[in-house]
Amino acid sequence: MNVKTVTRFGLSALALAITPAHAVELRFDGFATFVVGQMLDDDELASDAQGNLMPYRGFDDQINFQSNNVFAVQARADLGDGLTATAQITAKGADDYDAKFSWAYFSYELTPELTISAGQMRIPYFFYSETLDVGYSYPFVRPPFNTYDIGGFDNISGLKAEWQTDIGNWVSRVTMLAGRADTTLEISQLPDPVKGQVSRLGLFAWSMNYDAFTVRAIYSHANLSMDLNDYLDAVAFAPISAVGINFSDDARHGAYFKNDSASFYGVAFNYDPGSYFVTLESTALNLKNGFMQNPSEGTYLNAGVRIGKFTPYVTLEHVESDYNEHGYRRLMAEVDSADLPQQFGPQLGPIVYSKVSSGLKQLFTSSLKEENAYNVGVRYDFHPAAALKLEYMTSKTKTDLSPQAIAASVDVIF
Amino acid sequence: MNTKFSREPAKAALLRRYTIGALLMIAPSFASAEIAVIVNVNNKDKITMEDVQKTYLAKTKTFPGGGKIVALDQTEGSTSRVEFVSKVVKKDEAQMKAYWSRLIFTGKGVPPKVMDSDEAVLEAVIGNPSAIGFIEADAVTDKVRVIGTI
Repeated sequence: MNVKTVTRFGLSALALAITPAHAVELRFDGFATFVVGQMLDDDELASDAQGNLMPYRGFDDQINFQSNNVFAVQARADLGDGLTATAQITAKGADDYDAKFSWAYFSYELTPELTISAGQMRIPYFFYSETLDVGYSYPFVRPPFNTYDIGGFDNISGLKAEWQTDIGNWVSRVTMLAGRADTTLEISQLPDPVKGQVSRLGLFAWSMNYDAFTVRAIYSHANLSMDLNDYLDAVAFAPISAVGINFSDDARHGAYFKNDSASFYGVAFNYDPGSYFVTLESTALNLKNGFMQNPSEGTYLNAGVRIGKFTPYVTLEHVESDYNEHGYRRLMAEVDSADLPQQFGPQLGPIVYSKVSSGLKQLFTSSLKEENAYNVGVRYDFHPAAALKLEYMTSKTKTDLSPQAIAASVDVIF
Repeated sequence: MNTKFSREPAKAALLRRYTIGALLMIAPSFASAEIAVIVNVNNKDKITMEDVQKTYLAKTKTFPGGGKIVALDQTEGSTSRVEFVSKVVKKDEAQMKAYWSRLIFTGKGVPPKVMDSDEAVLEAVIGNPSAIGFIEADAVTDKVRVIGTI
């Protein structure tokens, strides 16, 4: 949603808010996060398939002041009788502080236990999803980076039902969500970003809380579309078509998404009696087709101790993914049947063949992840509404790189 | 050997100093005010301190009898609130703030209305059958029902 349509949305919400005889209660809340960070050694940066260096956790060897900064304001209008309208406007450093409506929705409290919402809202894939931007709400500088990467599909336009009830001494919360979401993928070789859509998204999450203990499970299924044909023609398959191999539509489909099944599931445990806390979360994303990892799994353990205003913590994270072997084989079958030796002669043919097959394999495996991350940090609640965090992060990747970075953040709520 | 033996008393002395220091730090909370949790006199529900804790963590929105709860808070840093948050909600104020930030920015809850004094809470509870609040035990009058003192 851009600002203009949202202004319209906001105005109609305002018009609605003015009409009833009830006194409308407006409430404004906000939060801001300022992050500064730097890699300690840029020799350890991984590079993508085209040889471009990829930043580590959003940091490179220059001190980075901007890209992780967030500033947001939330307005909530209580229209009476259980009806509320909420909008959250977020400006992120990574988007040059271009203010966007991250959320805008109406909620209606049918009973004290059951609330229905409609509009644009955050998809609660992970334990910390819904407050991902609110640094003040969690101990670390940023939630575990690899696990929490969902390709930009953060927000959904749709319908949500939340049912909170007591089961014995436990508080149960069931969330059901349905709708669609959009994202864009920047590819450096293409002039325009590629659009991606998630349609027919359904999500079911159940969390149970007893005193200091919370357990949560989630399952989601959607159809994913992302047309990468321009990228395949201009970049990925260009050297292959140069030797006269043009893949069939059917085989090409292994390399992009066209209404393909995407499922996500996860569990999380959190124990927080006050003086310390432990969180364990494990998630898996399963995609059909595409160059990307399939499936990709992430698990992290985060624990900390609260000593007065200081909260030292550690986070250990492991992620791994498998490559889309089926998609790769489908394309290779057509390379095999092209009979390159006959075309290029017995000497050159096998060389061309091995170049093509290794190039193809590289496309499918370059985004593979296998990484262990180790983070230590401390949160310092120096003010009733602000926290300062310092974190050291390092990883061990499959390719034996050991990137390291340090980051500091100030998180404020108001 | 000698060094080992000579170290022990030093360690014990250090430990003693820490213990005294810790006691001194704890001491103010012994001297602190008792907090009473109050509801409207017409509210006959049986309400436990656990119910109160759940109310201020947005884990419950209704009284055991089914009536909707209107919870009242006090200004951050005030004696009543510091005591209440630590003894009943069993968190400190910073943890309480981080906890509520998760509810506010996920649309899961709106924090209790903040009143600026014990008197204001008393007044509001007298006037609203759905209200629940906390004040220093000394400030209690017979116009409200006390569900517990801690």
